[in-house]
Amino acid sequence: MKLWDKIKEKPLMRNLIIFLAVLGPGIVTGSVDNDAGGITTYSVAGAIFGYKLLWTLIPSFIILAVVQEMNARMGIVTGKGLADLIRENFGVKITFFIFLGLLAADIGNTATEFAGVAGSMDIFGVSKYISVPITALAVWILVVKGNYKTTERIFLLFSFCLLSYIVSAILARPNWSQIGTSFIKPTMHINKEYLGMVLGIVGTTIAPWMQFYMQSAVIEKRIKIEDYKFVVVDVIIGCIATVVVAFFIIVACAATLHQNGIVINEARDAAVALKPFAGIFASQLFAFGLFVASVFSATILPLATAFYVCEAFGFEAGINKKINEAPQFYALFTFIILVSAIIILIPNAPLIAITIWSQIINAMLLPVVLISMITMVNNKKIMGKYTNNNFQNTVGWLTTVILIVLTIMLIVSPLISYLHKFFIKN
Amino acid sequence: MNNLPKKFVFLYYLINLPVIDTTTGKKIGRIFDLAATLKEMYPKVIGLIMRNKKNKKIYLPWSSVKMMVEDKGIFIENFSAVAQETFNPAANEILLKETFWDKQIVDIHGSKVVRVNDLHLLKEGLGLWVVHMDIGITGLLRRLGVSKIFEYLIKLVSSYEVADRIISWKYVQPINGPIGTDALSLKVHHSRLAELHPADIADILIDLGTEERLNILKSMDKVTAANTIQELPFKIRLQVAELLDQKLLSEIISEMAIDEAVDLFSQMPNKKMNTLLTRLPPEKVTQILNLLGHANDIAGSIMNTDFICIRQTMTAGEALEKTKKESNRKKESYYIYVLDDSNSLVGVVTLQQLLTISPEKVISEFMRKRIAKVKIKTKIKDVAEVFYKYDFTVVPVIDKLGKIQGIITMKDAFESVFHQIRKETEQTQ
Repeated sequence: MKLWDKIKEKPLMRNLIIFLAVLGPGIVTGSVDNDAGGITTYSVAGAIFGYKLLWTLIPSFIILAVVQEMNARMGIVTGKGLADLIRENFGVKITFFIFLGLLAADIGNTATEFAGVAGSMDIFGVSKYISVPITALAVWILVVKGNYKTTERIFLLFSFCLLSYIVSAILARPNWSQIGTSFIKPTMHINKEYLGMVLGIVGTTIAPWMQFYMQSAVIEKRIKIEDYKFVVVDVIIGCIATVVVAFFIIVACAATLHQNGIVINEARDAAVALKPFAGIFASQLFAFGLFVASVFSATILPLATAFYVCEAFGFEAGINKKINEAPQFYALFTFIILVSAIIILIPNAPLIAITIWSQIINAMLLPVVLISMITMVNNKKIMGKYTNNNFQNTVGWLTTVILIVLTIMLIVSPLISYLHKFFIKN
Repeated sequence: MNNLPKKFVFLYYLINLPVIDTTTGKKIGRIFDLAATLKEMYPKVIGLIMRNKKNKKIYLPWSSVKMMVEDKGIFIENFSAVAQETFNPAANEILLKETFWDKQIVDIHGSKVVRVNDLHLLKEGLGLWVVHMDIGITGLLRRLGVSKIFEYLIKLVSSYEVADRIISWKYVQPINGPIGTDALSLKVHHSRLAELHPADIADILIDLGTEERLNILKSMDKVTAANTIQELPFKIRLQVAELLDQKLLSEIISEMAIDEAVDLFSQMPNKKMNTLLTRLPPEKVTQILNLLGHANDIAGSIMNTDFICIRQTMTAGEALEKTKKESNRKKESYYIYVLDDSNSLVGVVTLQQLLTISPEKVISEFMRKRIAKVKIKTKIKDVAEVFYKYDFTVVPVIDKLGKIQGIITMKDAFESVFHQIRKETEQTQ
C-alpha cells in the first residue's frame, strides 16, 4: 500500500496512471472506424491503385484528429452529448433532419457490417444464413442481457486483432521503397476513378455517427478538464491506430492484388485473392480481422444510433435501464439490427446500392454535423474559455470546406455511375 | 373578430404570430419569444420580444397588448411609445422559448430529467400563464409542424387518440437559470429540488451537463449541497470539486461528514488541497490531516471524528445538557461515549438512557462498561464483522493508549467493504 502511494507521488507515474484511466474513447472510436466499409474501401484502393493512394492517409489523419479533439473537448467541458447540444442550440427541426438521416445511414452501415460478417465467415466455410442470424442474436443478447462495460473491454482487446493486418501485409512482402516514394512524392491523377477513390478513403475515415459516439464516450469517462491533455493523446493514438491499420490493408492488397492485376469489389474478395500470393494464413488472418471489425461495429453502431436518437428526442435511453423503462431505446436498437440483418439475408440483396446510398446520406450529414459542431465549440456561452483557438478554427473550417467539396464530389460521382449503370441495364 | 376561443394555448402557436400596430393596422413583425416572471405561483407572461422586418429584436411589455386574435396576430397599442430596444430581465424574469424549448427540466414528481418539447399556457382575458410543460411525442410532432397530418393519419386507422404527456408547473424544476443568473435568483428558482432526498438529487445531477450540475449545486444551501455531493459517483464528485470555486467548495466541505471530506481530499492534487485547507476551520483541518495519514483499508481511514463524549463523573442531567448543545453539530448522537480523567474510553450511554434516567444519577453508575470497540489499525473487513456480531449501529475507534479517536457508523463500514461492488455498479451506470 505504502509503496503504491509512493509510486503515485512520482509525477511521471502519476501521469501514466491518469492516462491509463482516461484512455479508451479515442482508441475505441478509431477501431470502430475501421469497420467492414472501411476495410472494403482500403482493399479496393490498394488493389486498383497500388501504393499510389497511401498519401491520402495523412490528410485523413489530420481531419480525424482535429474533429475528434473538438468532440472530446466539448464532451469534457459541457458534460453533454452532441445530440443534446444540437437539440438545445439548433432546435427541433435540424435535429430531426440529422437524426432521420443518421438512422437511415446507420441501418445501411450496419447492413454493411453484417455483409462483412457474412463475407469473412464464408472464407471459413460458414454460410451467411448461419453466420448472420447467429451474430445478430449474439449482439442483441450481449447488449440487452449482458454487461456492456465488459463487452466494451472485450472489444478494446479485440481491436488489437486488427493488428493482424500488419502480419497479412508483411507476409505479402511489399516493396518498401515504393511505399516510401508514394509518401514523399504523391502522384496526382485528375480522373474520375482516382479522385473517387481519394474521396472514398477520406470519407470512410470520418463518419457522422463517430462524432456522437466519441463525445458520449468521453462523458462516460467523467474526465476532469485538467486531464484534458491526456484525452488529446488518447485521440491521437486512436487516429494513429486507424491510419496504421488502413495503411497495412492498402499495402497488403497493393503488394499482391495490384501487382498481379486482380480487381476486387468487396473486402472478402481481397481475403480470397490473398491466398495464392501470401499464403492461406495471411488470407485467414485478413478474414478474421474483417470478422472482428464487423462484429465490433455491428454492436456499437445500432447501440449508438438508438442512444442518440433517444437522447435528442427526450426518450429514456441507456443499457442500464430495463426494457420497460426505456421502450423506445430498445425498440430502436432491435429494429436496426433486425432490418440490417434481414437485408443481408435476402438473396441477391442490392448490397452495392445500399453501401452507396448510406455513403451518400453520410456525406450529406457530415457537413451539417461539422458546421453545428464548429459553431457550438466557438460559442462562449457553451464552451466558456475553452473555445477554439485560431489554429483549431482554421483547420476546423478548412476541414469542413474541403469535406463539403469532397463529399459533393463523392455524392455526384458514384451517383452518376450508378444511375448510368442502372439505366443501361434496363 | 373572435378572441382565441381556447382557454389553453401551446407556445408553438404563439411564436411567429404576427404583431400588429393598432394605430396603422399594419403588421410590424412577428413574435420571437415571450418574457415571464417567476414571482407568482405560475409564471406570468409580462412581455414579448418581436422580430421586425429588418430582423431586429424589439421588446414590448405585455400591457401594450390590446387583443389576441387566432391566426391573425397580436394587436399592440402605442407601439412607438412602448417599444424597447433591449429586454433587461429583472430578478426571476425569463424568456420562455429560450429557457424551455428543447431544454431539459427536472420532473420533481417522477424525480427525473426530461426534455421540453412545448409549453402549455393558460389564457384568461389577455393574461397568459405557463401551466404545463409538454414532454410528449405530440409536442414533438407539433414542433415539427406535422401534428395535424399525424392526428389525421391516426384517426384514419384507429379511434385511438394520442394523449399529451404534460407535467404540471408545480412539479417542474427549471435547470437553465434566468438570463444573467446570479446565485440569489437561482436560489428561488431551484427551491423545488429541496423536496427531494439528496440521493435522488444526485441521481438527477448525474443526468445533467456540467454547467447545469454546478448551477444547481451553487443554488442549494450548503448542507443540502454537501449531502448531495456525498451521494454522487466518485468521479463526478471530483469533477465538481475541481470546477466549483474555492470559497464555495470549502464552505460545502466544512458541512460534509469528515470521512467524506477526507475521501475527496485524498484524490485531489496536493496544491489544491492545501489551498482549500487554509479556508477550513482549524479543528477540521487537524481532523482531516489526521485521517488522511491512515492507509485506506483500516478503520482509521473511514472513521468520523465528530462524536459526543462526556466525563464519567458527570450527572445524567449535565450529560444531557452537553449532548443537547453538541448534537446539532454532530451527526451521530445516539451513543454518547464516556471518558475517564486520562481521556481513556471507559463506557457508553445511549441518548435513550439519558432521557429516561433521573438527572442526578452519576454517569459511571449506569454506563455500560463492556463496549465493542475497534482500533485505528483494525482492518475495515474486521470492523464490518464487529457490526455483524453485535447489535450496534455505531462503533468507537480507539488508539494505542485506549483514547477514543473517532466513530464508525454501520453505513460507512458497509460502504467501505462493498466499495468494490459500489465501484462496479457506478461503472455500469
